[in-house]
Amino acid sequence: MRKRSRSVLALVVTGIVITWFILTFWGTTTSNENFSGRVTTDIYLTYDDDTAFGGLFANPAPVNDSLPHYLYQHLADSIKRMNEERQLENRGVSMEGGWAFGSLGMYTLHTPITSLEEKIRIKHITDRLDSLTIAANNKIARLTNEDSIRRIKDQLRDTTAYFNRMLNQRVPMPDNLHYLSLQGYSLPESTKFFVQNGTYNLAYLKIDSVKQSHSDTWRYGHYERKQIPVRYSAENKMLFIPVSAQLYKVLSIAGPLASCLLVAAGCYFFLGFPLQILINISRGNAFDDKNVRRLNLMALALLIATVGTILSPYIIRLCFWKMIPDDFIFPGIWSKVAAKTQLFIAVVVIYITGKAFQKGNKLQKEQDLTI
Amino acid sequence: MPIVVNLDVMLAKRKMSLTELSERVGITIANLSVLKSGKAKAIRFSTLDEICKILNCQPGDILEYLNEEDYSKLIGNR
Repeated sequence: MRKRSRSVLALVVTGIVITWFILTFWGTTTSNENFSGRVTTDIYLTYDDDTAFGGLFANPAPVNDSLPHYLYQHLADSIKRMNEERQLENRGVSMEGGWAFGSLGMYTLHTPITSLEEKIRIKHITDRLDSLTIAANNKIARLTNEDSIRRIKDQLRDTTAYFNRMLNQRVPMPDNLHYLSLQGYSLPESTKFFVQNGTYNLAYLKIDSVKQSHSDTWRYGHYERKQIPVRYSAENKMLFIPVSAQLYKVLSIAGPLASCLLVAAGCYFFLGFPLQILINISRGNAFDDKNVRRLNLMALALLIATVGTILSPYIIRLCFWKMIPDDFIFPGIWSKVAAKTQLFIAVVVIYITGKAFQKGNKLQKEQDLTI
Repeated sequence: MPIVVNLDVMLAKRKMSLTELSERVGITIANLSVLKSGKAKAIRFSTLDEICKILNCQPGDILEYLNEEDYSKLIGNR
């Protein structure tokens, strides 16, 4: 009777798991089938000189195209480089150093520089060069003496070289900031992160009106900003929570130490144990107590590791829930469980093998005590 | 399991040592000790046959079934 109830239980569990997989698959395909072809277009206005969003929507300042070609190219390249640097900062990829284990990490990043100051600096230099070049050209146009023209040209060349050196000077980077990083966060398509004047901000689309035609939907809106307490890297899908230098120092030692211990434990359970089991089997002690214990421990360790990997990002998220804005998207737990299906199957396989070895151990003992 | 092995009683009756029995049956002393002390889980018919042949007795002389109460008393006394 007991065996029969166990079989029924196993059948019920199998049925639930299969139904869950079918429903997950069916849900995905149904949503695709229901797609009616309606296109939603968002329309919002941005301005090239808009500095409200840290230059997120602004194009690089135009260079006076009446300048000599070599000067024009140099200025254009410099402005492009500065723009790329600012964008790099917005993406938060200029990491100085750190470590990561799973979804948690520690990083040092540059203090956000004020891109507005840098923009003003470039504008000042280009304006000065523009006016100098125009003044020199006007002067040359009025002169006939070759010697004077050559002197003015030499002077202009030296001045241009001086401004080039100024442009090539990098902005001195202020002190570094320390962050605790959390991986796996993303932003909706319409929401963007940017750094401005040392603050972290989100630019999000606010819909003002919606117009529908027979097949399309047009949503009109504008961008609004809000300051958030965390930095974000869209490229790495990482949130950076600022921490004190002292805490960073402590975690920089404790973190790698803990990860080393976990790696060592992993090696012991999933490399050492199988090797010991194989050695025992080769010595003819296949079904001894140690092998049974090792297999049970392996199944338990793999289950704890899998569940831990799935739950840890949610536990960490819970610890920092006050700091993480709701705008950030974090995948649901079921998608993570589905992604780890193979590991759960491995746990079941190891557990069943352990049970088989346990039965073998019992039979072995009976055999040994049969006279 | 309330089955008692009376091998020591039969050995005493036949005035035979465990070593002699083990040599004549062809079973190690260690295995016979396991049988004598009641730790054995099972006994083969072939082993029982050999022992009965040498001790000139019936299987019932070697194996005895006791009820739970008597068995507990016996275990308690041991």
